[in-house]
Amino acid sequence: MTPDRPGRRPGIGVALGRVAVALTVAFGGLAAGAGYWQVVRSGELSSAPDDAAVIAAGRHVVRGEITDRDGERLAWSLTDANGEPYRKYLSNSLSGVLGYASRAFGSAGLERAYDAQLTGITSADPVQDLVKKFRAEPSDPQAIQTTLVAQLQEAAVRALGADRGAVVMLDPRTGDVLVLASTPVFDASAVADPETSAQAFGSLQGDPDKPLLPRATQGRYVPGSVFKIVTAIAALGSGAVSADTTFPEQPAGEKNGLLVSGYRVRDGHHGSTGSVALDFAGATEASCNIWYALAGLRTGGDALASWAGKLGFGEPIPFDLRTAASQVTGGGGSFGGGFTDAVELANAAYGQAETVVTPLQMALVTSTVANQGILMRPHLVRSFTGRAGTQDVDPEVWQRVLTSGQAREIAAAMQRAVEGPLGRQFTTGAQVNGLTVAGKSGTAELGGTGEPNSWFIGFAPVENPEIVIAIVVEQGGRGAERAAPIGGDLLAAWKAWAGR
Amino acid sequence: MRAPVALFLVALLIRVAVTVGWQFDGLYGQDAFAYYQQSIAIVDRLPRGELPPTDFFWPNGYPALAAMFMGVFGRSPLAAQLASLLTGAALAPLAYWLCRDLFPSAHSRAGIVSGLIIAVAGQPILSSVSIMADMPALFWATLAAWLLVRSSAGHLLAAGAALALSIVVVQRDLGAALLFFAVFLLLLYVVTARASFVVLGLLALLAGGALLYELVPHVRVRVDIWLDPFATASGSGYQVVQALHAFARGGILGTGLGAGLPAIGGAPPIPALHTDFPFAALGEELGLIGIMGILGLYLVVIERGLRIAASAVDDFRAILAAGLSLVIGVQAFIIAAGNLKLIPLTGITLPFISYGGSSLLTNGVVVGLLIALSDRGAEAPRIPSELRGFRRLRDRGAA
Repeated sequence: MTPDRPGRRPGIGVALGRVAVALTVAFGGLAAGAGYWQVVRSGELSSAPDDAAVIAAGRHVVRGEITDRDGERLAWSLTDANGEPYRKYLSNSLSGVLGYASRAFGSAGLERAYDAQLTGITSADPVQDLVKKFRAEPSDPQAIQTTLVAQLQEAAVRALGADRGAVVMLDPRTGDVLVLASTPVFDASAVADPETSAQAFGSLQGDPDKPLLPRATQGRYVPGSVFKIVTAIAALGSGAVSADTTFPEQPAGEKNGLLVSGYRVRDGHHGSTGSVALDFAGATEASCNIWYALAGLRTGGDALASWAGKLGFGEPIPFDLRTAASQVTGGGGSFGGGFTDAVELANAAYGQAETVVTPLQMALVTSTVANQGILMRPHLVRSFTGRAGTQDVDPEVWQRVLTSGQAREIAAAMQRAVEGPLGRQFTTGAQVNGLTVAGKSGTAELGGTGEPNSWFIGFAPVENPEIVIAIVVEQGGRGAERAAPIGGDLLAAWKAWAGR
Repeated sequence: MRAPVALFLVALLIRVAVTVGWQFDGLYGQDAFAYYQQSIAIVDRLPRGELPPTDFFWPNGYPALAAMFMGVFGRSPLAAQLASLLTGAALAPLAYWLCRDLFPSAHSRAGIVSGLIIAVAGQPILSSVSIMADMPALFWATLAAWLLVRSSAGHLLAAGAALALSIVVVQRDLGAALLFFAVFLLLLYVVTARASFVVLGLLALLAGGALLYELVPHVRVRVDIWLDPFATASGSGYQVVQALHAFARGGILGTGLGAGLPAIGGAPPIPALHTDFPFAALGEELGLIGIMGILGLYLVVIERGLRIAASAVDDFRAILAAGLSLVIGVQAFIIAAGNLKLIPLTGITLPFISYGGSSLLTNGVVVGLLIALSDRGAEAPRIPSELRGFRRLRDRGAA
């Protein structure tokens, strides 16, 4: 090749053409990438609570109101001396679910989850979002009607009293969450009020009782015996165990404990059941650790973990609020399903070992039994209302876990755990006049000498369940002592509210 | 004496006169001082068998060169300045050669004038050669074109060595390294029309990338951010995540000019918006539609540049025109793809759009060169018919 030659080498034009095509394709890739972020992921990212526009709008827009399912106002906006809006809340009892929206300290809870809707950055209608920039006032703050019932929420917080704990109540037929209480509560209005927010927020952050932790959705607790319902769902659902299954080793092991690979699984009900080999309902009524350990071993680690997965274990539950993940095992073991060995599986089957749950997760487990094996997706919002009208949130089936027959068997066993002569001792106070209640208590040993966590899960009425409840009281003692009576009180309060 | 040697000596003389006359020791500004200190650190440490400090942000190429001079002439600002005097003066004959090939009819005048200009202005050019991608990209495209045209085995070897060297010099600046490499590969393909070179080059790129990922912590951080920026959304991945949010806020139609980038506490959400993320800002305010338009405009510039290359009167001009258009196109691709999380983000500028003196200056030079290359000199310039019409109208109005 010589320089300054007037003619073209024949190949160069072709090669240049190919380079041009390659660059055009590469730029097409850029356009596709832009399309992915600007169309496919646009809604999700631009309405996320940590989006800059959402945060900026949160500081000057008058947020939409939040109401409960009966229309009672739970959160609304006031204006300070400078004409800037700030938030006011109906009651401290809502702090664990609504959270707060503060100009200085950001937002939490439902206020954070729906920051974009409450400030009107995004609406529920994509067409409105597309054309809003052509309007004089682009933001369209949405009012949110929740599924909550303010008076039941109040009753739940009152029932927990000075204890730390959580209550979840939901409608198993729709997934509507009626109560999502966490104690201790805090004064969210003080956090939102610019006059008091610095002082209020500072003392909350330093509080050793951690009032800012929403325990119902993010508190992770050892479940104890309430986890037996998960084991029951896995065992019956997978067919490893039927309602008639008895284990001959069970009565024999009652006195000195059942030996599993050198570890003794112990029980405390030997005096009342004696040498009788318990079936599923009997074991549930007596809260028999040995029967459940044997059922768990027969079901196997893989099946237990995968059936728990169908109930929402292993991942944060998709919900309006951020949730912590529940787990059946710490994972990483080689025994199957992540369990380390047979001992861990046997202990997990009755809710000890590395098993950790959130109160919301236990409410979903109960909801599956109550709703004939179908788990509805839990949700907190009934509707969004903006300029363009009202957008309803419809109930949604999340998982089909059990057949209705299997669910009925577990429900019957849980009813015996509340009404049976032996079960009653574990669930004292859970019964309600004029209402059939099914349930299960739990006493979660924490190791060491501290009081165990007190648990109760249940639903009512048994024939046609309309309400599910899950309660945990931190270091409240045995399930029967603290959580079960709260369950009875709150189911009675629900009965009064529902007018049944 | 031959012209290039004379030019080199004249350039050196001018630069020495400027340095002595103004008592100019080269330590202007924070960056130059940081370079100087890094050179001193290298001189101090290497004899003890230690490595130079790794917390130096800029490339180590220039400090290493200055350290060599310090090793001979002692630890003084003047020794460091000597390095830039000699290398800066060396740019003058290079400019001469370039102009001789570009403007053969007026080579002596144009070459000498531009050589002298570069000799005087060499200091800022040299410091940007070692820092920013734009200037060296221009320089590299020219050099590559030149070497490829005279392609013998020796020249190709020299090209490979120059490529390796420039990547070492810009070791910190991954974007620049990637840009040089990609442009060189594409030019190699244009000249040889052999796809095997491109394949080999891509394999080398992957191997080099993997090696850098293992060895250089800075590279590993960048790649990890790319793989999952949301994992460190409030830390190292902050800017990338904020940029993706900006694209998302823009949606299809955009938020409108000036209506994007919600300020929090008076500051825009993306700190390096004006240099590294203008594409994200455009994506937010103009939307997907605007992004498509901008990408289309880049394609037009590239297409026109490649067309100039295809119809250039000689090989050198053809390859230079191709290289210059590819510098624009590949650079725009690398930074836009980084903004969109298609490849790891590298801090290079978006041609014609990013804030920054040297970048805009270089883009202007590139366009000027392309226009010069498109002038085939054979036809006399003629007045466009529209202009004649306007003139008639004006004349009639005056009458």
